[in-house]
Amino acid sequence: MTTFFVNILALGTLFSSVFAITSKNPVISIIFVIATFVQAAGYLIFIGVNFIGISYIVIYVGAIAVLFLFVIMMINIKLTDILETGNQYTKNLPLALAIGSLFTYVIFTIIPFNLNNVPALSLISESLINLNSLILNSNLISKDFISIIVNAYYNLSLSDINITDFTQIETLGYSLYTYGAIFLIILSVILLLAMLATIIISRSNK
Amino acid sequence: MNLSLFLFLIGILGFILNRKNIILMIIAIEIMLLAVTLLVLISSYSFDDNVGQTFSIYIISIAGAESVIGLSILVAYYRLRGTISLRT
Repeated sequence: MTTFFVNILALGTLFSSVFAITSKNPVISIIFVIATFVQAAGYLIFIGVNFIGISYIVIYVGAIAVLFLFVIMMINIKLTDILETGNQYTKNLPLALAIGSLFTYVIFTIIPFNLNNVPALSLISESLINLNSLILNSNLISKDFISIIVNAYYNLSLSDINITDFTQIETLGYSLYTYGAIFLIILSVILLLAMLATIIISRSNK
Repeated sequence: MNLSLFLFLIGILGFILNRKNIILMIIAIEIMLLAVTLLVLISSYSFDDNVGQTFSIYIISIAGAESVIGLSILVAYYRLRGTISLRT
């Protein structure tokens, strides 16, 4: 059941990111970006990274997507200015093909493609193995097989069970405040500089 | 791991194919940062390590600062030129 949801969320992430980069209207594109981030956060929560998944929804949907929407509503965009049609669009297509093929070549040279990495295919093979052992010795329809089905339906995920267990956040805070403290200070300086830069850039100079 | 690699590829293609729409270029950068963070998180979780979650917090904060500066540059550009089209 968890594997099924993880597959659905991964597929939804890919499809909504494709829709986000190909849609004409920027507001629709922002909506699909929000869908991408929510589905990626759901993916993280389902595989067990709870705190980062929830903070993804808080930071991206609550802050960054609202910032994008605010900027789009504030400036007056004519849709004919930012659309590129026909000849203008296909001019970039050879560059995109070259960079995409180079990227996939480099990645799959470093990491060879393995069918065990794809969860849907490994799910099919596992169910085939289960079915095979079921047919071969038929007295296996007993406590084992029933317990497998019951566990698949009722043992939903780790995030449901561990909702009051704060060990992940505890270890995160421990590492963030001990050996990662200097990075945290540098990060706060970077955020302060970002705030100052925004104020200075958008100040109206009269 | 395949999910984050394909998401990064989608981000690169969105950055290249839309050379005129600057909002969509910033969105593509956000998608690429999401892919990198997913790769770091998934591999560190499968190695049962804690450093990946710490670094993902740093990456998320840098992504927030980057998108804020990009959008403020966009607003200043619109105020100077009256349009946000990159190609005249």
